[in-house]
Amino acid sequence: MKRTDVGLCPRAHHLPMDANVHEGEGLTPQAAVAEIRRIEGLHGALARRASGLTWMIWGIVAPAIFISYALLGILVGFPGNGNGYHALWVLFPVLWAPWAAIGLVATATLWRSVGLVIPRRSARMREGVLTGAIIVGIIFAGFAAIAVTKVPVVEFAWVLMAQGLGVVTVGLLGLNCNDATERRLWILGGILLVATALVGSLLLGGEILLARQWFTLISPLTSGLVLFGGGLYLTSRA
Amino acid sequence: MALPSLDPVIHQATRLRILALLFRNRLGAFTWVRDALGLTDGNLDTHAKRLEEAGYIRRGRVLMTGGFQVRLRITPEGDVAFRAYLEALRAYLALETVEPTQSASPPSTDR
Repeated sequence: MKRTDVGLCPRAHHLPMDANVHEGEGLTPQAAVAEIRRIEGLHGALARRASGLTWMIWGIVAPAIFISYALLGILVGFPGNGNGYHALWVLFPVLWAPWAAIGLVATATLWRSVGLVIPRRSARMREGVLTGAIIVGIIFAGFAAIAVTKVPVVEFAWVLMAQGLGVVTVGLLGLNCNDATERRLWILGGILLVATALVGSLLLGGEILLARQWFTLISPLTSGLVLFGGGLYLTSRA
Repeated sequence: MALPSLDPVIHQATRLRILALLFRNRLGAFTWVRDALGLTDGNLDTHAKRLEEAGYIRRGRVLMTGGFQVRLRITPEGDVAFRAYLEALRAYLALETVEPTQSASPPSTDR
């Protein structure tokens, strides 16, 4: 019978299963180094897999945020449209928060479950919080600048670009990166997001309504594909 | 030149793997460590006990929704001992590189 994870108390069992414990077995220093490297490799693979799954989680959360805002926009109109005041506009600055909270809880649960958040918990948490702060900070700073300058900008295009800028910044700073490949992925993913936002804006710059429709469709798709695809890649090579 | 001594508590394949895993992860559920290293309950328990006796790891029980979960945690002493072991290992291998004919046998692991 296989014992379950919880309720297991090895001290209480004392089953005679230690027959294969050999104290005197020879272990050369070379073999010791190989053992340590094997554990490091095991940790690296787990960390890469968990990182990939984290990307995939945010590859679902990011499009969900875009879609929520698109639905709210359809429901009450965007504040910049000049359609008059609507009570539900108060949701615009905060609608992302529940999704972000879901993403955070899922990410924390994932890392805890693989036992990897525990090692350098404070460093990992700090890097995660900093990543979120960078991306959200860039988005809100951009919105503040747009509000002050009153430049006609499609909200989703800016959010996609800000997301990309944030991701590139995180990659350049080397945050949340287990290895060079992951760092390159952060930078490349961010560039893809920025490029999509830029190309779309340049092509549809004059047509604000058309651009809004286009970005309502393309922003969740792009961020979802980049983050989910990147996660899938990281997971597959772990 | 004298060979650096390798801590006999750590210098055993299974205990080395357990301590290396805990050094990297600080804490791990008993079952997670067991499965990650492909050990049996009894084997892990025996080696964990040796490490506990040396003060290198600590065992704790955490109440989960389905019952108690046993967790292994590396102690500060274990941390220091593992770092010292790594240093000794490095020194040992460096010596070996310089003196390739020297015996590679580590100190006895019987204790």
